[in-house]
Amino acid sequence: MWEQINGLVVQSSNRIMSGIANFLPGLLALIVILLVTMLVTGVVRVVLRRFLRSVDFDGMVNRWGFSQVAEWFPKQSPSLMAIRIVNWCIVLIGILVGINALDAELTSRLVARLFDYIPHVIAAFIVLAVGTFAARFLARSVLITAVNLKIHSAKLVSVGVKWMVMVLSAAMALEQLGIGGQIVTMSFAILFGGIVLALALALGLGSKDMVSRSGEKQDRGEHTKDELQHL
Amino acid sequence: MPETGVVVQNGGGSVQEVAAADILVGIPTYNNADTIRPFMKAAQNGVLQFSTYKAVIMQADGGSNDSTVQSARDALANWPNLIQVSYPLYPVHRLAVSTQAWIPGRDSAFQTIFSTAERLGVQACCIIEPGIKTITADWIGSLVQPILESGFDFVAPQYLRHRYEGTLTNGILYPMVRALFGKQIRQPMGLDFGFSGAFIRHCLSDKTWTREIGRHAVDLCTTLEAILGGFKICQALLGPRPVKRDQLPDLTTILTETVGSLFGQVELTAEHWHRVHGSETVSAFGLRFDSEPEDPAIDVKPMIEKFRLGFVNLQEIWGLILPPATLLELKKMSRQMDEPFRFPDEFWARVIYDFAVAYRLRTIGRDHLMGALTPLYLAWAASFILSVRGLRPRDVAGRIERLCKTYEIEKPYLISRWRWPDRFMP
Repeated sequence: MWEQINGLVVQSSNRIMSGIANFLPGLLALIVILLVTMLVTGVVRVVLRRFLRSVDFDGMVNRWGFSQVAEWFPKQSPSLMAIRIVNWCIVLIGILVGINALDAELTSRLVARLFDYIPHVIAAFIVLAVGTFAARFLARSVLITAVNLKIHSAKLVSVGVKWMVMVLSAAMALEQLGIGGQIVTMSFAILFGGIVLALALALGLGSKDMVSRSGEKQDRGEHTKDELQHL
Repeated sequence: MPETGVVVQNGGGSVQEVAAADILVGIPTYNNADTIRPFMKAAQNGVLQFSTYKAVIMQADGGSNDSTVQSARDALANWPNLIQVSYPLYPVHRLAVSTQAWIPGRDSAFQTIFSTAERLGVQACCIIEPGIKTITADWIGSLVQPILESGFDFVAPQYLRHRYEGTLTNGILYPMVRALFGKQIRQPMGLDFGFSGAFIRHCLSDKTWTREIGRHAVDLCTTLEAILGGFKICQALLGPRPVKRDQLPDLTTILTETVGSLFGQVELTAEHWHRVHGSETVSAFGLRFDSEPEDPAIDVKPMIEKFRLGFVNLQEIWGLILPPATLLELKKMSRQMDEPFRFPDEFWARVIYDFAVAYRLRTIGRDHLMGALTPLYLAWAASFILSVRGLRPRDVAGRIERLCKTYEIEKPYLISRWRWPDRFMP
């Protein structure tokens, strides 16, 4: 009986030891891969920082007209943001390779799900980027036009347009990512409808006098054109 | 190249029938039935002054849907030297909201007239636009005579205007063309011009109008073409030329088509104007008018208010275009009272030069850029009106001269900013 017990203990120990022996190289490989990843990350960071500084990436982003977007970046530096994105991509790849060294099946499942999700992330990113650009462009157009039309709340109107487009693009991006499901769509519909109603009411009530004055002027045949001959 | 010489209905001659001529008077028309009859008569009287030359009048119509063509034909009934053609209009012309709204596709009209002038082998050609009844036979003489008798190649118009008229010309177009290209042409963007045969051949070979700028401002393009090509230039004093006010587009559109076109030309010709120093006078011929037209009462308050509103709301956009020192000056200006409101000349010249640099760099969209310039231009116009109110005509001319000199003095600033837009930001 003692021999049987001894045998079971030895077998169990052997299984554990062999399990550890099987797992240990994978763990060591994971650690080595993570260390290499950190090293690569450091090197890439230094090289990328020098490169972006040499091409004046921050200035380029400003010149391309994304000066406001740059404010969202850490320390308002687009190059720092670019470096961080590249670093995190390298870290992610390193972790995936490291996990692969531990358990190939788990990694392949993870990678498959990740790759399934990537098109949604890209689509969301594009929607956000286009939305941001459109919001900026429309806000500027509205602001300049409103000032030239002598609308005193020009900035308010411009900011309103900007945020409406931003909220619209954010809702679309979240839908692409599958976050929130119907709640986001419904919330957006309620919010957007509310804003439009509020604007319609504000415009209707606020410009009532202005519209009637303009109508009276037209009835009287008053000259509303610019009285200066510029050319 | 668009087809030219399309004979309209019956009557009048064709280019083939006329075969050759010494003088061509081109009249682009579009729905001018109300003014075309006396206009054609005046043009005929004008060309009859040149009895030793064979003169032809050419009406180039942009597809009038009233009786313009018939009225023009009736006005010169039985006169063999009338050519009536329709010039081609493309969708881009039909869609355009132009400062020259009464003549759509002016570039196409110019091209048609120039092509005909070349085919007829004319010595002198003038283009006069209808829309007014005040033209006299002397206009033709003023525009054509310097070419035929004094060997000039390009005759720019000079109109008699009241002191507040043409603020855009006085404040931007004339001083900038003068400072950059070195010629004191008082009306770089006019409606009536005279051209020699040599200049017409040069323009046709250069394809000036195929560029977008040519489509917007063919008059400015031909003026600059004459300067850049080294042609002999003079000016013709033509007297008053009132504009139909009800057809004028909004100010931002006017700025886009005129100042935007000038900035576009400045960008294309940087190599040339970098080498130009100072400016030289351009001879003027034609009619002399002693009396100044009566000045209308202009209320500058809305213009100043628009500037103040712009200062409150557009600082962020102006900050992308203008250096901090100019922004500080604008801040001081926004606090001025209405009556002593002034826009210092040196800052105005710098503002325009900064906008020219921003146009080139596309710091913001070009339409936005012109929109952002509008309140600043109104501020300058208000300041100008206030500064010349009550002055004698000679003093008003002196005031414009001072502004032009300031543009010339500030030209090194433009060159520095043009060369080093990021580094040179005082």
